[in-house]
Amino acid sequence: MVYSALGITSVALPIWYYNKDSSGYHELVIEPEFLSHIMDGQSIDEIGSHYLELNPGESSETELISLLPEADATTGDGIIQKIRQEIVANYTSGDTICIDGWVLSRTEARQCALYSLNHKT
Amino acid sequence: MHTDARKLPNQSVITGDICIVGAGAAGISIALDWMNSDYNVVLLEGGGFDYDDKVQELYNGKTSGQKYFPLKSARLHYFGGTTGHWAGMCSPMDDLDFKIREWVPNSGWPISKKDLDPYYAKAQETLQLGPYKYDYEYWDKELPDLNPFPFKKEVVWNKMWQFSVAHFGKEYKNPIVKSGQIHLYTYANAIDLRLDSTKKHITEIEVANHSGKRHIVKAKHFIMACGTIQNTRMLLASNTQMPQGIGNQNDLVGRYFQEHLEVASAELWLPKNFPTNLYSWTYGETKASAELAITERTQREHKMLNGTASLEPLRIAKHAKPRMETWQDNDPRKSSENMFANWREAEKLGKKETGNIERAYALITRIEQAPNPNSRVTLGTEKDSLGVPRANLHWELTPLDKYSVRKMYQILGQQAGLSEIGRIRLNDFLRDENDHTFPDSTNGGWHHMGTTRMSDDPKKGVVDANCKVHGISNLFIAGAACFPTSGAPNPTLTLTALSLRLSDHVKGLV
Ligand SMILES: Cc1cc2nc3c(=O)[nH]c(=O)nc-3n(C[C@H](O)[C@H](O)[C@H](O)COP(=O)(O)OP(=O)(O)OC[C@H]3O[C@@H](n4cnc5c(N)ncnc54)[C@H](O)[C@@H]3O)c2cc1C
Repeated sequence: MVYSALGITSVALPIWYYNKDSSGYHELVIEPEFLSHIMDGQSIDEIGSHYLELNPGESSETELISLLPEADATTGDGIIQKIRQEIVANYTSGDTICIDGWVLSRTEARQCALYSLNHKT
Repeated sequence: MHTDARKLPNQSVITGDICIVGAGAAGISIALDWMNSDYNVVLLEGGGFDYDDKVQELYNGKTSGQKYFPLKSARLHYFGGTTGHWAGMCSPMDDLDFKIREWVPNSGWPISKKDLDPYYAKAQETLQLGPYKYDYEYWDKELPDLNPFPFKKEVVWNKMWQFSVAHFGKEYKNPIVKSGQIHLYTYANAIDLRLDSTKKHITEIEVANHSGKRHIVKAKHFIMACGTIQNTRMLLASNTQMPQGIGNQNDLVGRYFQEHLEVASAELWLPKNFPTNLYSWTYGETKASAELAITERTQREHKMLNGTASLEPLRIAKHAKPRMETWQDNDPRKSSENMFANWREAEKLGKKETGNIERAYALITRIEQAPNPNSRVTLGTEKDSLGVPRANLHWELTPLDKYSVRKMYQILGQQAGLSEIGRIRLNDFLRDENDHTFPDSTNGGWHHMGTTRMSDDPKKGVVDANCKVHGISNLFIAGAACFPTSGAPNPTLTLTALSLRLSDHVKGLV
């Protein structure tokens, strides 16, 4: 299964790979799967940084994780599915945010923010 | 019949039952409608059968406000009129366009879509289009693989278009020249409309040309069909008997100038290919295609104007310059060449683009402009070579225009997200919600509308529901100048329908 067009999950990997990492959440949570098929990591990083600027109250990993759908699924499929549902729910209820012109769901914008925090050098 | 007015003896008197001034889409459509009647129809055309720069120069004028095309090259001044340059894109207005919308000041027509429907059907024939069918369901049965985007039907619908390749100058020269009923006079430029002593009735029109000839045209009814800006100019310039101009007792002639805003506004990025034949068209081949439109319910909810978005491959569109930039030569032929040359170049460069962009579209807005009394045509101080004051245009847009364009893509962005089809990115000029301005790259469609708007109330409009000038018993305006609001679609189908309705009305008067 190819979940994302970004680096780390762009190849098919066995399910055991998709485990919670040391910071206590699943790696796939930080990957805005849909966006990764239309833009590169740098753009996602930039969107994430701008989200963090616009929402200073959500600037820590812990805070962002608590706001994202609980990634309790044990398989990559389950996580992707759950986040995907949440994204659609955001669009349906109008919980969107415009960053760099992109009309994004709140959830994927938070994923970008998490991605950005994870890619700080 | 055809007479070159340059060859008539000076001060000739031409007579007819009706006199149509201007042989473009509106004037020719009306003339054809009288082809089998028993009446003598005089059709006056300022130019000849081909481009003539001396005549075209009569269209020169100054512009101010929002950047616009040079007035000289934004229209064509010879037999066939601006259909010599048009792209042939046609779609009727929506029911909503005719209604009063509380959130759009000065909206509402004194007629409804239903009143126009039979004439739309007739206009389809004059414009050599297909059947008067603009519902997606009809075309879905006729054409293969339309495959619409799965947006919510209550929010977004597919507004269908048909495409004409008819250039009136070529198509209708022979039938008109051979007609026994219609007498076409070329090089017969109307320069002055004259009233009787009551100032309620036009008695004659003076025409002139560059051979130094002046003639008089007398008729029972006069129909001005010179295009929006020129019709307006003629009314304002005929000011010897009525100093404010004819029909201008309430200072309305020239106000409410409207264009369609046609501007690259957003991008639609798709994660995977979505094969569809619905949203593209090829000149001379495609029978029907669609643009994404916002439903009446959603427009009401968001208090926005009526508009659509068309799709162009982003890899090409990103290399295309705005038409407002390429169409700046005073010579309409050169402007046209520049525009096409740029499109060819964009196509060439676009072929080199690879990656995700191959699945991305540029979304191009086509939207009505809110009627604005300060957006207007006035007379300049300078006169043209036939002694008529030039027309100046001040094109002015409003915050409602900007809000509506932005709102359209916020709505489409939401729909793209919830249908999981893709993501939408607003172009730079739409991102700051407090910015009400439009950039210089904002195109018009060369669609001039609204300056002799229609209303039952003379205090609110220049013409009545039959396109008759309020206060003048025998003067009519044919064309998009009569539109109180401009709708989203290009105007020629609607202005032709309205002209045919006017024609029917005049038949009942002669
Ligand atoms: C590049 C371009 C593309 C376009 N594409 C589309 C499109 O895809 N779809 C669409 O719906 N519309 C399109 N249009 C607009 C369309 O061409 C016009 O809406 C339409 O031609 C207007 O018809 P009209 O009869 O009112 O005016 P015109 O066609 O301009 O005709 C006016 C006629 O009056 C004559 N005239 C002017 N002054 C006088 C005078 N004083 N005395 C005698 N005769 C006079 C002129 O010579 C001309 O023949 C386009 C326009 C341009 C420039």
